[in-house]
Amino acid sequence: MQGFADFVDSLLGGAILVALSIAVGGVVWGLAVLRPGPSAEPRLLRRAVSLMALGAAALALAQAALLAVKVLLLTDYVGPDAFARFTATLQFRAGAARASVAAVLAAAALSLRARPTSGRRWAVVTLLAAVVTLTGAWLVHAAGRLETRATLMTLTVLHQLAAAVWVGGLIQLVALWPLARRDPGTIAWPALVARFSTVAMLALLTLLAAGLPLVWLYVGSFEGFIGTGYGSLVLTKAGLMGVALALAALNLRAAREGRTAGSGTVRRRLPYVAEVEMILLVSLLFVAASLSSQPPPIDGAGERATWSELVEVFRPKWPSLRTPSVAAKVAAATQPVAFDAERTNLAYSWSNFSHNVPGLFLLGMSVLALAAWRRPAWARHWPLGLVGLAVFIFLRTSASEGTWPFGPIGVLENALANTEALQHRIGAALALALGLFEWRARSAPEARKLAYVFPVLAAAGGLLLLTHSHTPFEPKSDYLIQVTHTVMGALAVLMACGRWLELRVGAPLGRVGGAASTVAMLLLALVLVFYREANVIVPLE
Amino acid sequence: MARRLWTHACWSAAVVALSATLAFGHAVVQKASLDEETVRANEATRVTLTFNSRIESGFTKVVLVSPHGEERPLEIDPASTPATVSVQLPPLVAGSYGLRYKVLAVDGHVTENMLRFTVAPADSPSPTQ
Repeated sequence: MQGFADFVDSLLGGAILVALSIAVGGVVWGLAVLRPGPSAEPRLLRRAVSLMALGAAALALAQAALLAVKVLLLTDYVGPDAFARFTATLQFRAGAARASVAAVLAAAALSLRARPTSGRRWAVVTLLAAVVTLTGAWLVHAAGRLETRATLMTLTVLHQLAAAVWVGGLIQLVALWPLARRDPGTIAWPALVARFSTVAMLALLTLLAAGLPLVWLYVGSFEGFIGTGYGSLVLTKAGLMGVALALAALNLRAAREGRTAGSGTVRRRLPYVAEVEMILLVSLLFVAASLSSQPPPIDGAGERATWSELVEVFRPKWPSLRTPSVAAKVAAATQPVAFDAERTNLAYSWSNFSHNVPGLFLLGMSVLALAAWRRPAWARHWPLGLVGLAVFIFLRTSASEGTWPFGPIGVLENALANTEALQHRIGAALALALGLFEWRARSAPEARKLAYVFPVLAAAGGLLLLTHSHTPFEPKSDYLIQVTHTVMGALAVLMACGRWLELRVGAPLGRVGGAASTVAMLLLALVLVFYREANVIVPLE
Repeated sequence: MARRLWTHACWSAAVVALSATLAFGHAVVQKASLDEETVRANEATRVTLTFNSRIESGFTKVVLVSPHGEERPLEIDPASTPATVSVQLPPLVAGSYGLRYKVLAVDGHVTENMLRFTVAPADSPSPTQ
């Protein structure tokens, strides 16, 4: 139950941050970019406000859902009076306040939509958005800190606000493009892009100003970055943010060129690069939510891995092609386990094979995908390797859990009771869908629109890996396992972004995106091929 | 040249700063009196756990796990502060035990963990002798 709750907590936490961005970022977009007034275009204002209302409603629902999940979890361990006791906690009161104000914000936004140039209604919406943002201060870890509580709460809220303005504004920009493309004479796209660029730069500077002290106060050391689950997620965020900033720099350049007549990149390229930037930043919000399940390294909890141990995780090694039998695995699972029992060689061997073989699948697919650049017809069928991978993951999980076809336990029953099994089943389903849709898209020109399924599912798979069963204490062995999943999750997100760019933008940038996507898949394959659980060397029998 | 270096430095700082977390969670034990005091057989012992953040006292549970795996809930001392939990261990025979705790941090995250400790024989010398 705890593992499932933490998983749902990360997903809902990410959804809350995205919804907050759409709601609060939408208000800033409306005021600073569209500038509601007598000369403003009502269509644009209504579109922006509709999105804002949707974000606020989603925020209210997600926040309420999160509170409900917490009540379920607490009922599991304190009994039926958990709800009554939970209502007395800070988390419930702040969460309920945020959900309530977000619902009112949604209603106010709908009212604003009827009169999108009304100054008074914009003032109400702005005030409500400010309150929604401020309630976040009591929902974050900083609220429970013993020292520098007020400072940490303030910095966290500023950081959240800046992220919301940037991500929310980007979502608004991407949503506006279809309208601007259809009506270039009326909608001054280059001017709106230029205004948003200024807003985004200010948001970036605020993120920096709030972020630097937070990093110092919560991580505090190099060992904290490289040796803890929290630190690995922070570094992952840094890596993805670096790519997002590179795309933002391309867009900034296009925005500046757009001010001069005759420059086409602000229409030909910027909207689609903005889409990729948006995918990256939304993924980052989910990583941020996953971070919330980790204690900060500055508190010194749990063991830390060293630099050499971390390097060993990713060092090239021969894959394991020998596996314990299913019968041995099932027999081991039925043995009683002492509460301080160590992991067995059988368990390590099973896990190594379970990761190395999928790595070989992906390696083969990556080689074929690279060969496909030279256009041999047969190489286009590389996505079918994902179907084989899906079957492997399904059967391997079934063998590990003792479910059909290897045991009497039902697949669904097991998945609902075991978070890790559920995630592996979802992974198998994702691999199957990825393989079938992408193969169809590449082999049948009339099915080209199916090509968009691959990056969407790959991004979803990446987020699943990034939120994959993090434990708060992470003995070093668990951390050495989780860090590989974190890296793979980031590579999956990059693979999705590269493919999306290839589909949306012509050469040469589109080809760069395609190449980057294939390279990301190759690197992901190598992480799996070199995987050796917790760096433990299992003796050959 | 200096301007380019400054630009690069700013971008690098931005990348690091932007990686800062938006929220962090879970209460974890920073200090346990079990690490500083020996628990002796046949003596009741007070144990204090100090956490890194405030916890909701109404949701704290502490269970003593015997060497054979039997569990016994322990009563939380009402004098516990927002960031500490105190319990009284009953007199125990020598052996390896566990103290399983479950707490709800103010940020809404539930934390569960087990601290392992050894009960020394009553007549064993203390570490300071």
